[in-house]
Amino acid sequence: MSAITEPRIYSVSKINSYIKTTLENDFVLNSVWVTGEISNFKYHSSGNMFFSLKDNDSAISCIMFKGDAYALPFMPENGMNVVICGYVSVYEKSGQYQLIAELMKPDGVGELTVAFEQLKAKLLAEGLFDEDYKREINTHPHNIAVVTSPTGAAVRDIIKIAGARNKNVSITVIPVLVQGDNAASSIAEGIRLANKLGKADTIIVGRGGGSIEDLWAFNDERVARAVFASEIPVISAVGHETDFTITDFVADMRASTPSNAAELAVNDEYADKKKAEYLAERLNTAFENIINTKRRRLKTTVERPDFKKPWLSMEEKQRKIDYLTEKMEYAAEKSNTAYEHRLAAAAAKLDALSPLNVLKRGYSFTENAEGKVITSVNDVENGSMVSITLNDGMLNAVVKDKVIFDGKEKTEL
Amino acid sequence: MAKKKQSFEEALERLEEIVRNMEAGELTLDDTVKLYKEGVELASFCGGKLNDAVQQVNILSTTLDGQLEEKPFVNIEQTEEE
Repeated sequence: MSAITEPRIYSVSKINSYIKTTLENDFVLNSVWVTGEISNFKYHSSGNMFFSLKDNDSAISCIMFKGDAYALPFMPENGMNVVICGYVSVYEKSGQYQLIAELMKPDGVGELTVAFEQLKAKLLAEGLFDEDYKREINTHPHNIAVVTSPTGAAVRDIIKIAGARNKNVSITVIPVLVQGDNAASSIAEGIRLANKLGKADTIIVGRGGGSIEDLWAFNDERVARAVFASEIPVISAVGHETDFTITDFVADMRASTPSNAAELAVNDEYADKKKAEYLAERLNTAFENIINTKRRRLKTTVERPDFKKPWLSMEEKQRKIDYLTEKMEYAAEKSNTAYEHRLAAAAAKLDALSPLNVLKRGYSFTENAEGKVITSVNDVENGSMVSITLNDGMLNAVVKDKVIFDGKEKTEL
Repeated sequence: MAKKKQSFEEALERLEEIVRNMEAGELTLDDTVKLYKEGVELASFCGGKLNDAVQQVNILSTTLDGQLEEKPFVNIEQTEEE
């Protein structure tokens, strides 16, 4: 056996290491753009993302390390078409080659659009946009906190419009960065500061118009959560009328522009004054109406005949009294006559019963010496004095004898 | 009416209520006079709130020891595009 034919034998590690070096040095594979659809996506707790990129015929394992993954503005999802920039390498432990993704962009739509839609869907599901959480904006505030750049057009517009409407409303500008990497945390902190200060009735948070990138801080989750957590009601005022940001959805009220925010936050003093004047006018009119109505009613009452010529009714009453008196007197008279008749009749009756009349008819009565009427022979003794009264005089007599009737004939004394 | 601290809104609301009541009529003379008096006071209160105030604008800043303080805001011309 010749040494020339002797094969070179490599260890598995060696060969994998060799392949890895070869691939990583390949001028095509060391920096390549690949497009495909994401599948088997896994966001590992280590912060690394594992997934496959596939097309109709083929698939390739991919990994995005946490440093790059963290910088992604959106979250990759299964089924999402993306373009990846990276390099091909080998995982020596298993000998599998994979695409190391350093950049990823949604294919077709902008990455910011995807990020926006994703955060919107997430916060919507959490309820941060619910109408139930929207608070009333104080229509007559004393102080407004404006969380924005102190040098931008927005703060100028807000101060100008607010001052034109009502100079009694003070404004506290809370200066923040509104674009750049630190903008989101700066804005969120500004909202917290306004709450810490605690004197504002309303917070306006926003900035003037710009590109979607310029406005991006207002699509940041930290800003959205700071707005949601604010104790003080928040009006969002980001960019122009057509710009919608996540902050707009979370805010208690959305203004189309910073100027519009000032209109929504600060009451128009002149309109208030007009309203007060109008009410004062109506108050006076209503008062006059009531008084006039009452006066008319009083007049109608006063003009009734009883009120106007009271003596007329007095005369009539007097006539009535006279009539009644007359009637009464007549009745009294009539009843007197009847009484007299009744009296005469009673007297006649009495007369008939008088003992004098009995005496006229021949009867008499006897009294003893003491003047007591004797009704029984037992009341007198023989020889006692009695007086006998007749119709026209009296007989004094002495009792000679007594005869007692015992059911037989009675005897003359 | 008692001179308690009253917001403009409350005063305006009460004034509206009084005017509605009076416009409906059906009030005694006593009530009419009482309400009218209250209404006149409210109207003058609402009108009196308006004056030539000077708009106050401050800017929040943090002192060296970390305290918050408000200083008058100088409305400088726009020095940079946002």
